[in-house]
Amino acid sequence: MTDTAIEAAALGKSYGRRGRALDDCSFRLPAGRICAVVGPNGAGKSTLLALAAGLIRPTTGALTVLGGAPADTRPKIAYVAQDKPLYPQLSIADTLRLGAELNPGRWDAELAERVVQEGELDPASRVRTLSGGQRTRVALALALGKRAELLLLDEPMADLDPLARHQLMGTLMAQAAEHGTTVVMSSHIVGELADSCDHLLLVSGGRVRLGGPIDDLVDAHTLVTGRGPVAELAPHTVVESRATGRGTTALIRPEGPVGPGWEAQEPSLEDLLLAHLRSPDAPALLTPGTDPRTAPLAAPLAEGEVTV
Amino acid sequence: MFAYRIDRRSGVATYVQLVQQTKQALRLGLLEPGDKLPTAREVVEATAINPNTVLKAYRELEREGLVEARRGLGTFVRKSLGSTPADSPLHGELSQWAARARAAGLERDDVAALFAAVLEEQFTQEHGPEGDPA
Amino acid sequence: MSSSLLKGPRTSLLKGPRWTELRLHRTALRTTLIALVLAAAVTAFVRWAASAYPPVEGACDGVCEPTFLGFANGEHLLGEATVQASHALLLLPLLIGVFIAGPFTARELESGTHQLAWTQSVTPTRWLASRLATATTLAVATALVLMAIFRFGASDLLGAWNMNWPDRGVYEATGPALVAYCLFAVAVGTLVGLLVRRTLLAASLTALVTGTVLAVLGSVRWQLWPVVQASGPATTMEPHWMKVLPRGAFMTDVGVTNAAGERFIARQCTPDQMAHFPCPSDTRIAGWFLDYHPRSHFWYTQFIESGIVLVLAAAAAYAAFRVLRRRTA
Repeated sequence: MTDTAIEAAALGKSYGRRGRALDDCSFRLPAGRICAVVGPNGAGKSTLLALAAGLIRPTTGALTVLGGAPADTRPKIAYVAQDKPLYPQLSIADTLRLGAELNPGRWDAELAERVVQEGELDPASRVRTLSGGQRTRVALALALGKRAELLLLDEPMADLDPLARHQLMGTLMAQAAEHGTTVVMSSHIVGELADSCDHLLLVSGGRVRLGGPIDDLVDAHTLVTGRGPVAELAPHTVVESRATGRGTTALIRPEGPVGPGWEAQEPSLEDLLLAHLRSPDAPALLTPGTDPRTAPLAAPLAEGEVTV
Repeated sequence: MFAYRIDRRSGVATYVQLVQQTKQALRLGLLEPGDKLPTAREVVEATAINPNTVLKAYRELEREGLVEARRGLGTFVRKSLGSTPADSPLHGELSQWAARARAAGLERDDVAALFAAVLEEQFTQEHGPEGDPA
Repeated sequence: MSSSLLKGPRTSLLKGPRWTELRLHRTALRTTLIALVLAAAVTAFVRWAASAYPPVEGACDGVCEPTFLGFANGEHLLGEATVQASHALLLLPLLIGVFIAGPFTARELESGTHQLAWTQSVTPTRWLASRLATATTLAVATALVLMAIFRFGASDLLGAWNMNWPDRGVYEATGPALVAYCLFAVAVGTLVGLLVRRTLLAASLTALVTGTVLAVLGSVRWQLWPVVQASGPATTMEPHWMKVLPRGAFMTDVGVTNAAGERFIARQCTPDQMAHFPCPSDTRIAGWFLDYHPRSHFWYTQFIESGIVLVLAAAAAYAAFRVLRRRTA
């Protein structure tokens, strides 16, 4: 088992004349993380997940998943597409049987059936009769039953009611806790993932803008308010600055202590994301462990070395 | 089984909520030495929070000497948090102070807010939620 | 495929991707099975009718009164039905192509279920290989069963009743060519389905391509193997002429030649040249000629034509794999 779940090197994907969906993305996701892929609609989140799932081929660059090409690690990856595609003519029971037939040697029938039962779904009912949320549950049951090392979930919670969302997220987290599964979930709503995820990839405009453990990313930024001009913040990287009343509020990446006259505050995750989305020109930030240029590449960790 | 409840609107970090609720349970006698804390899997299944958050809370409790992890068995309560005896001098002083506040015309909520503010002032520096300064 | 077989204990035949393919298209399989049984039943009935209601000698003179289901007699019905069936069999490759391209392949891509299929433990390449194998097996089986039913129905009519071996329909249905066309339909349907990704469009395009290939090869098939040529001097024309033609032979050309050996048709060029017909300058008849395929050429043309169709099918299947490999990781 490798310590890197996903590693992208200058990854790019363009769809013919429709333009580039991803452009020069480089990042590393350590194994065992619960990672939120956040960004506005059309930012490239789905493309990124489909690439990791081996569904599409990158136009440029390379992608390594669980230490191999996505094509070779397919049995260890589970993927749930945004539209939760299922065969409408199958019953739920047959859909799970399909999971068993196509994943011989891995399939956890008990877990898959439990996920379905918790939603009080009749295994005999046909997929075409299910509501959006019920389809999501069946799609997740199929993904969980595969007992994958990497779960790629594209907008998994969008169609779920609050109870089902809580229940399924709990099941996901329990799987992650028990088996060390890496989970990557995309969403354009931050709130629904904030409690469950410990890692973040902010994607917008086809690029990775922020990447790293959520705590480290928040720690790397400071929200400052002061009366002085923005120029006073020169030594720091200013992500975004806005006039507030007579003064200025800015999100910065401090390079040392902030000068007098500025009041510093810890930003919330939401502050961080909104500031970066509003300022597309702000430089990207990848924490050391998630930047493939600084992180130990495919080389295994030496004995006794502490995993990040 | 002891269960955690996460308040997402409180603004208090999730792992701090876990630590506080464990301590509260120890004070109230809901947990006693030798009791097993729920496993990380059980906690996250019920709360849908990140597994590492639970582990972080348990590490904090362990650092404070309240619980201990036994390999392969789980996390167990090591000692209880005795509540402050009702006849201690501190209790008397606080009681007198509350009576004075009431006499000064403060409402119950005003007193509580004042008390919380003073607590914040006194305990933030050396015992903040950010943990050990080392 | 019966449902009990699909629900029964797991056998080595029914697991993995194959189970998926058969289960997903259970309705189509059942429909096919019912259609085959129906075809066999109707054929048996018509054959029974032919023997139960034979033509009565001298019962009618010229125009016969309908005595059986609107036909003159049971044998007449059998003959008509068999001619129709031989034409209908030409539709089989089209039907197979339409199903493979549309519901079987393009619908997966159109509805997005390919994202489900390709992210299980089975690679897209294996997915494609498995469904090509399943579709091929079922297409060949269906074609063979239908051909057997046709043989049973037409057994003593071939060669009579306007059903000569080189006739469209009869020719295909009595040799390997029909099976080859069905395989071609499977391969082309798969390729078009993967490329077009729209159920209806893919189905229509495949029908068009398969129909075109059927039509084009059907019109050039008699040039695939050299004809037997018979000829003689003008003096032998009357006694020999048609008598050299062996029984059952398929005549492709007939006419006369001048002294230079140039071919033309006597009626068109003598005594006066008719408009729009090619005639040599010298229209004095020196001899006659006759081109034909004897009955024995059946297998040569069948195998050459089937070979061409199978090469096209293999190319389409290869292209389908290439398309899939280019698209997915």
